[in-house]
Amino acid sequence: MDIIKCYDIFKAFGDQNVLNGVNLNIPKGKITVVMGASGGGKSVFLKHLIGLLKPDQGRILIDGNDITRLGRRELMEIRSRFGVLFQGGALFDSMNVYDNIAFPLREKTTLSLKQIADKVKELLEQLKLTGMGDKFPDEISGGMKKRVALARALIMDPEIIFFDEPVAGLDPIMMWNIFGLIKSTHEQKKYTAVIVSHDIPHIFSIAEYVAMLHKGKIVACGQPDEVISSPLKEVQSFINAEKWHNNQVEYEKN
Amino acid sequence: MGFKRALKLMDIKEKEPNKNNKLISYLMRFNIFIAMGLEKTGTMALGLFGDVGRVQVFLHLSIIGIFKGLRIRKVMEQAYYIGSKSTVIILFTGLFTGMVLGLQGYYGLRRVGSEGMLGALVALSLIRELGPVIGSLMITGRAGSAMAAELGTMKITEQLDALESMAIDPIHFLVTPRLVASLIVIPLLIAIFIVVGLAGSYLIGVKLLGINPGIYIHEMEKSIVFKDIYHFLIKSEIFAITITLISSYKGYHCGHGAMGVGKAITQSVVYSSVLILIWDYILTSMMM
Ligand SMILES: Nc1ncnc2c1ncn2[C@@H]1O[C@H](COP(=O)(O)OP(=O)(O)OP(=O)(O)O)[C@@H](O)[C@H]1O
Ligand SMILES: [Mg+2]
Repeated sequence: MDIIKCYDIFKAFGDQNVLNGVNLNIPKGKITVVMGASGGGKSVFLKHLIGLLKPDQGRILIDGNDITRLGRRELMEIRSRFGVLFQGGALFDSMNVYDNIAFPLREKTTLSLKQIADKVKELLEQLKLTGMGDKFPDEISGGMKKRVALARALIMDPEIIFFDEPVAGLDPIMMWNIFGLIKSTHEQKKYTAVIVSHDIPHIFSIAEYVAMLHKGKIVACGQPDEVISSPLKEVQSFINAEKWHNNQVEYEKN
Repeated sequence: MGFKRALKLMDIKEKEPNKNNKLISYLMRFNIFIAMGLEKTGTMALGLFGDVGRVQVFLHLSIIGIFKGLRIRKVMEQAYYIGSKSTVIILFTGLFTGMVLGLQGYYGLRRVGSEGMLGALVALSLIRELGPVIGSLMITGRAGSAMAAELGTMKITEQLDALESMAIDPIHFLVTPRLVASLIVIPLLIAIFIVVGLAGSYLIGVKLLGINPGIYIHEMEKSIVFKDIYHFLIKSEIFAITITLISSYKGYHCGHGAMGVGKAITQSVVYSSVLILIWDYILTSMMM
């Protein structure tokens, strides 16, 4: 069962073609990883799925609704089922960490202050952010910002969560911690996760479905082992970048 | 841009059953009036706006937001913010405007031998003209620029996108409370400006230049009619809308990086100021 279906998405900024006909189906209730080169259009693709960018051409169906054609109100309805972790965090810089995480609950639910506080505290603990609630986003480290943004994306227990580089810039311990958190919350809540990441090979440990975006197209997608064993040069050079790089150096030497 | 098209853009059906329907449609017509004013003054006279239609939709959305549930707390916050930012400057500029009016007015009136009219002259010019205009210009510089800066920063750091992604309409969430707060606070600030200005001119006229205080006050009281207050109210409210709308629009659609925010701030102050003066002329000539 595919919850998100993309048909032939094209997007250009000026004369730069970023997406050149992306076709991808994202299975419901699974962790899907989209990988690809830096600057390859992964964040742009993700923003299309959230409806923040409109494709020049193509359709994006979420549960059968074409979000490129929806009115504002319907789009908002669909978005209320989303959680999004932006690559840059996009934390509200005039609110402290606690308020940032509690924000969606306050705005979108009728939970009591106590219930909100409990939920936020639990997440803060899981993300090793205890005691940071009073700090403002410009007073915490880059990795902490990422975790706060992650907490904000998770707090509503949404049906679909988009993670743009959830572990970039974190130390290995924290990285595994985040992977563990995503995995365990996913097992509990069975949400659909769309993760953009280049943390190869670690990301394969949580991926259930993998897609590779290359030059604005999905060149390979499927189960992780299928993609890993794909014969395509683009995929292999990406996954086994170190080997490829060394071979290249050898080749140039000779 | 036509009424129908604006509605379509906003994804609102005209015949939507809603108890506020009549009020909304009335307000929309009012918006279109404002937007047309902006359009005329903006594009014809100065070419200020590339996209007046978007400004109009922006105004619609922020006014519609009032009916989608107004957050009183946010309005209060903004009211406090705008008020606290601008009070001091309003006090100072008001006082000195009144004082210089007192001096200049006295000098002019003495030539025709009617210094006693000073109170009336100062009060009329402050209430009908200088209070709303200078007051609004000061508020633009203080609170309007801050609004543009805040929204612009939120835009470039993807905070507006984050709101969108949480199914929160940024215009409803950010602009509507600012608009309502401005509608309440800016007339009050301008009223303070006028009162302080009157005190300043009293100080100069009566205490320094020796006009009889009884005559001063009497002439002043006699000359002010309700229509003058009406001028003051209409002008302050329209200037309040102009300041909020232009500042938040410019912030909301700001360009790239720190420079984009800087440009948005400058533009919001320049455009608001110019529009305030143009509006002032149009409104004065309409209400004469
Ligand atoms: N708003 C925009 N306007 C113009 N060009 C853009 C815009 N957003 C992205 N681009 C361009 O699109 C291309 C893809 O950007 P994107 O951010 O999607 O890359 P990415 O795959 O997420 O890279 P990374 O892994 O480094 O985050 C880049 O070349 C970028 O310059
Ligand atoms: Mg990216």
